[in-house]
Amino acid sequence: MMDPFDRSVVVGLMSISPRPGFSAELLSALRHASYLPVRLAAVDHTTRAPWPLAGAVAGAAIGSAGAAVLAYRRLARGRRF
Amino acid sequence: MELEARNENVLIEERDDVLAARAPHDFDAFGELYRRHLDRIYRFVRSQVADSSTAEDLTAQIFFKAMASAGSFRGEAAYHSWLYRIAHNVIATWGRQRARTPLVVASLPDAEDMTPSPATQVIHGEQREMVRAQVAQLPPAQREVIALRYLEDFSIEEVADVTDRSRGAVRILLHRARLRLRRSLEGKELHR
Repeated sequence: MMDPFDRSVVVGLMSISPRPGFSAELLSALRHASYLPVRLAAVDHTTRAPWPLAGAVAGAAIGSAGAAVLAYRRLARGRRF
Repeated sequence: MELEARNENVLIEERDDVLAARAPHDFDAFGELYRRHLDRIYRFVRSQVADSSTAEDLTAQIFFKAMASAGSFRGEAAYHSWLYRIAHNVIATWGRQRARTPLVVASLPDAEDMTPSPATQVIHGEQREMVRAQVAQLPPAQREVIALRYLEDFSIEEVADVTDRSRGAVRILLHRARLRLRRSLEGKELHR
């Protein structure tokens, strides 16, 4: 026989349930993800680590390309005037 | 159509470990596991965080992770223990990433159940909210062991396994949590 205190804690916690529709929405999202050729990798520090590096490389590439275009435009303008 | 229904019936009758073995290459098997465990995982997550939208995000992360790593389930522990272990890790990561803010009573789990079971009706909605409010006031580690012990009826060993703590530490956390809850609920006419 459960102690009344324990029973009240169990009942209090057991009364939590997801909003209607959440289960179907998540199941649908999972089903779609399961069709992907490479399943979504679990998000943790090991899978996140390459992204800042990739971002930095891409940022540096875009930055230097922008700087090159600016330099080229200035040179071209200098030649014109 | 008939074949699908028959397949669903077969899945319903299968044990968790059998479904888990099929889950890496059979979405229907994973779907059946999902149906079996969603409510309890959500309930656990919701008892650990301050709002429903965070609980939904974290629950989604847990099941995406469970699907992505379905092949790594070895069957050494029960499938639901494995899921709770993922839930523990996801909540711990989330907890580390955000600033440590205490749960506020105003944003506690709402009474979201539309059709409460007879057991749930034993105590009034207000009293259930009061209990949830007091559980939410517990420190995160105590809140977690209380939820695992009371929601899942996990043994001390299972709680220790899921939370990566020693059995002694779990016992102490549980004792402190129960003491604190008892003190805070005392005199609130909970036990009718």
